Amino acid sequence: MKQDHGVEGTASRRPRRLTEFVLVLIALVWMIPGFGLLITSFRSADEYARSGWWTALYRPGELTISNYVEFLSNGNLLGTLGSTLLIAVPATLIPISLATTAGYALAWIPFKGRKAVYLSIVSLLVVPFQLALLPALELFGTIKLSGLPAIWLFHTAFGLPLGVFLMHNFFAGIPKSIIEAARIDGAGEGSIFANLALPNALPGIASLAIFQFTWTWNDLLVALVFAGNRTPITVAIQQRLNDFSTGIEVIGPGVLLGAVAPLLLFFAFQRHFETAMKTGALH
Amino acid sequence: MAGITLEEVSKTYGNGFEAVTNLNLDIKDGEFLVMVGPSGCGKSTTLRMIAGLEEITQGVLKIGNRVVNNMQPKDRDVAMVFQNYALYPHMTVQSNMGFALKLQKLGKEEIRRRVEEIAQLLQLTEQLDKKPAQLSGGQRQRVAMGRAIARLPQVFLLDEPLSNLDTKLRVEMRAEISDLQRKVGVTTLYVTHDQAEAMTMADRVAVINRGVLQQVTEPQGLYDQPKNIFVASFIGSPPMNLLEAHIDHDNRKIRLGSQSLDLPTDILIQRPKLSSYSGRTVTVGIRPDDLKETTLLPKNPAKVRIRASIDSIDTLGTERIVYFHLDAKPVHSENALGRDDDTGLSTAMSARLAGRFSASSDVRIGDTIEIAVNTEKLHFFDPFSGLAIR
Amino acid sequence: MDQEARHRATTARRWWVLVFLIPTLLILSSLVLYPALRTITDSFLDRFGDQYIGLENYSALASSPRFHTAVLNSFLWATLFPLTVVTIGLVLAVLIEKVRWETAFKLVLFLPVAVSAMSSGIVWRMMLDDSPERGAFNAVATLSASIVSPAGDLAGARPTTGTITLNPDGSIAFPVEVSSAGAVANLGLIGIAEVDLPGNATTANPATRQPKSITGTIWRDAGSSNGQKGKIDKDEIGLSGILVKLISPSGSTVAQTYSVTGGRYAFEGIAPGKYSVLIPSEVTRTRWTGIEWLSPSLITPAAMLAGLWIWAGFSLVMIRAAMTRLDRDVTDAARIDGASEAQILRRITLPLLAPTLSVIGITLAIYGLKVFDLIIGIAPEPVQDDANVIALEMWRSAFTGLGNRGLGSAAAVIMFVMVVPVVALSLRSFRGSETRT
Ligand SMILES: Nc1ncnc2c1ncn2[C@@H]1O[C@H](COP(=O)(O)OP(=O)(O)O)[C@@H](O)[C@H]1O
Ligand SMILES: [Mg+2]
Repeated sequence: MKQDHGVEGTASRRPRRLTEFVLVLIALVWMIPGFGLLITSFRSADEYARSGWWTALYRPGELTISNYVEFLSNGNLLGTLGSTLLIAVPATLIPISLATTAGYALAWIPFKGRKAVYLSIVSLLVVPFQLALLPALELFGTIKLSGLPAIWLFHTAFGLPLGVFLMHNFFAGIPKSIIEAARIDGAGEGSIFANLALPNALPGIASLAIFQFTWTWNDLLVALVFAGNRTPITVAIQQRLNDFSTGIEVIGPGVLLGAVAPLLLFFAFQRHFETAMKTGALH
Repeated sequence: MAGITLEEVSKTYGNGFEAVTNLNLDIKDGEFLVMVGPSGCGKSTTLRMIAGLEEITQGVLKIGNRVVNNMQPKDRDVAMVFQNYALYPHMTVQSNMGFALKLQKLGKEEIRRRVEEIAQLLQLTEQLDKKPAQLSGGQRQRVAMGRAIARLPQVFLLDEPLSNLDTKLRVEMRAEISDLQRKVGVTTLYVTHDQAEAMTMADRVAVINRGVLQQVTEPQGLYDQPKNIFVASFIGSPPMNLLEAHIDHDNRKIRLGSQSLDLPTDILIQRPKLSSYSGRTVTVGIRPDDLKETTLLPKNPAKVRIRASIDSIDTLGTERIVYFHLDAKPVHSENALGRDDDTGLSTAMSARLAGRFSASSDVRIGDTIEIAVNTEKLHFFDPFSGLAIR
Repeated sequence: MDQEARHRATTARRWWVLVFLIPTLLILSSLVLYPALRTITDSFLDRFGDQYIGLENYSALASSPRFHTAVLNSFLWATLFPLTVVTIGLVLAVLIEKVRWETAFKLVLFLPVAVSAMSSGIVWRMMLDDSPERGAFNAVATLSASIVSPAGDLAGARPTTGTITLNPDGSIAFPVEVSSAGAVANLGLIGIAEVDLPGNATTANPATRQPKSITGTIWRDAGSSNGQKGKIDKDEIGLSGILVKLISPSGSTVAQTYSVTGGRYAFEGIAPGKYSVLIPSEVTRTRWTGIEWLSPSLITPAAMLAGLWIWAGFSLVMIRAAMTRLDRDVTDAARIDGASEAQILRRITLPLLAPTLSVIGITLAIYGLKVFDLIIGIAPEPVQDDANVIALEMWRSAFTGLGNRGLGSAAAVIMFVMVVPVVALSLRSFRGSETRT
């Protein structure tokens, strides 16, 4: 009987087959919702009400691109995608630049009270953004700020604590000797930051970019409160949820088109993201 | 207790790389065998196959009289000390050493007693409640040893256990480990890349290169009668001087570049095979110990001397290592074996030799002196196969 | 001179600190710190934020059943949800370890992270649709259920008169007393779907009494324009091919037979005594219509399922990354020490992964407490109260209808109060993982 249990490599084959089977099943279950949505987005609302999306697998004649044609030729709907982009890009870039510089200063420039400043910034991680919505709205009202800039600022504010935390950790992971050597060579803080720290922190910046972009791109609540008539795609979809079975013609393509940008970003930065994971700096 | 037998054992990794080739090795019950070889030559692979951590691609592995090829590590009753110790970071020293016993479902009291006994033996009693991170390198090393001993296994496997220690501690631990092994009397396979460790600790040494076993014998035999160029140059420090030489037709003289030496008259009695090399080129090996300053050996005949000018000197306090050049082709062991595309003969015409002089010698760099060669102890190798000629 | 240079360097450095930090500090204090504090004070004000009303908002929340649901659900989102996701991530991480297509698998599971929470809710709302015709999940569930226990020939049939009993398990029993002259036991049933009627159905054929026998007719006791309950009327259809059993008083089956054309059946050669004629439950067993995921009682688990779909990949990827960072020699050492794979997992790998697991758990707990869009996406309007969470409640109080600033603030404050212990925990485990490495 022992003969059956080889060491690693020969390790009992049958359970491994079973494991692989179960894992394939799980992977399928994970893909089915997205696949179902994809097919649904190519079916009319009538068909949606009548039968399940899988019927299209044996009646492909049901499929139509009219939902997409409708969506893409509708200026308002297309505009929501544009709004989402206009919200998410600055709402990612601004906090990342601020978090990078602040994280660097907190990790590498010695000054009095550095630790206290760092801790107070990180402790703001406790604050859920819901806690700030109403007063921030009021504040923006008094300084006559609304629409895009208001959303940018709000996203920036609530992206910063995590951003500073991550970037600080990343910079702190750079060997001290590198930075000291540069100082001895006479490099100023600006050039140390730009030429040494930044390139080394790229995996961190990429990971932060993925987080922040995905978050701001997909956000619903902040947009509901601050966006005004700058409706992003999430809000457009939310408005149609109450009439789900007719709204599906917009919801289907909307959800799918809305997922494209974060996925592209993820694939673009995947390598950096993996590096960051491997070093364990994301914890 | 049990011996270990490897019969024609080979290991090919998943990527197709053959790390160990047809290894035959017989480690006797209670023996301390050291396997030595350069880094990457397949030592760890061999150990891991014996431990059961790596599948054996080909061949038979026996522990005692049982074939264990397909046995799980836990059923083989072996203990292993890893190069980086691989202590359980979340457990105290005590739990580290008692872990195997706990898995054997021994009673709490029994485990405590055995762990304390071993802690005493290894002077770890004070550290029992600490975690590995709180220990010094030497202490960690001893915990790793303790964890292995606590099991009272049939076989001990140690993978470069001292290579992470500083020099002084390493020398101390050598003695400690040999003592310990003698006390416990467990069959031990000890792997190292450090020939000094091998020579000082082993009952027998196995030299391995590129996954191929070169020679197994007791330390002195390895030094005196290396089987091939690789062993010759790997064992001994500074390494044996290897250069191309020409033997005259009646085996009386040997020519090194432009100089020549008289061979001992009984050379053919000691090395009968040399006769077939008369009038041919061989690789000759001279240990630095066999090169001496003539001023200290006034009776040394002129026919066994070479003239050379000193390039550099390492003064070591107890001795002086002098370096000089001869106008003969040097031979490098790395190229001499395994690869048939290269005969190991280099095209350079100048060989650098080292000689071990006494500390009282007063030669200086630039001096041209006469150096006595102990021709009784010359080593001869076939220039193509690299094998010793005896 | 040296000192002067150093002084100059320090001044320059100070300048850089200002440039690097001031914008961040400015934004954080004006848009995080100040509003957060304002919300806390606002929670003691009335709906317009004008008048101090003490703890009235809090007591209003405390007495609102809808808010109770929200707190309970948020609590589940902060505990049960992360626990499930981490456990599943861990199980998958262990299973995937020796599989060659690990990267592809991780990618498939990780991708939903990129989808917005609301979209994920929407996708799962479609998947979990109650109707097996539209919801993929129930379609599969009912299909597999119908294979394991198919619907009976007369699914859902019920007796029409009180003399016939409908047992809790769905079987139908008719008690009869047989004398030597025999007995008649007619079984009138309703609740039979058209599709279950025999293809060549004929009108019911009344049975005649025979000595030492139990005879009877099984028929659909409906369909006649002016028929009577319990009577075989004209045009009523006889049910053929139905399994009937004769049960003795002790409960054992004496005989069994199938009804023939016209619905007649007969047990012959029966000794006098008390019996019961039984149509067994497998005949009347109805088709299972699946799980009502989007019903009030299951909507929160359904939402968490959608959450699991998003986060399991994240959990898996993080745990695998941590596993590969572990020293392989340590597990090998345990293997040699005699540990089985299960023991290695429990005593070595898990303890070493603990810091990672708790970091993931805490991240997910914080996410769970803030969950909002997901609920909007998955919960149809009628069950939104049952799926309620604090973030949703806060938004509803403050921004929908007339808007109640005080009440919304109070809800936000309670949410904050729930987040604090989680983050405190996280700081402790962050520190823990620092000292460990
Ligand atoms: N898992 C592996 N897959 C492929 N090659 C390996 C693997 N492990 C080791 N090797 C190769 O096998 C050779 C021998 O390795 P090893 O036994 O670790 O050498 P050492 O003598 O230094 O202990 C090396 O060249 C190494 O690169
Ligand atoms: Mg090794």
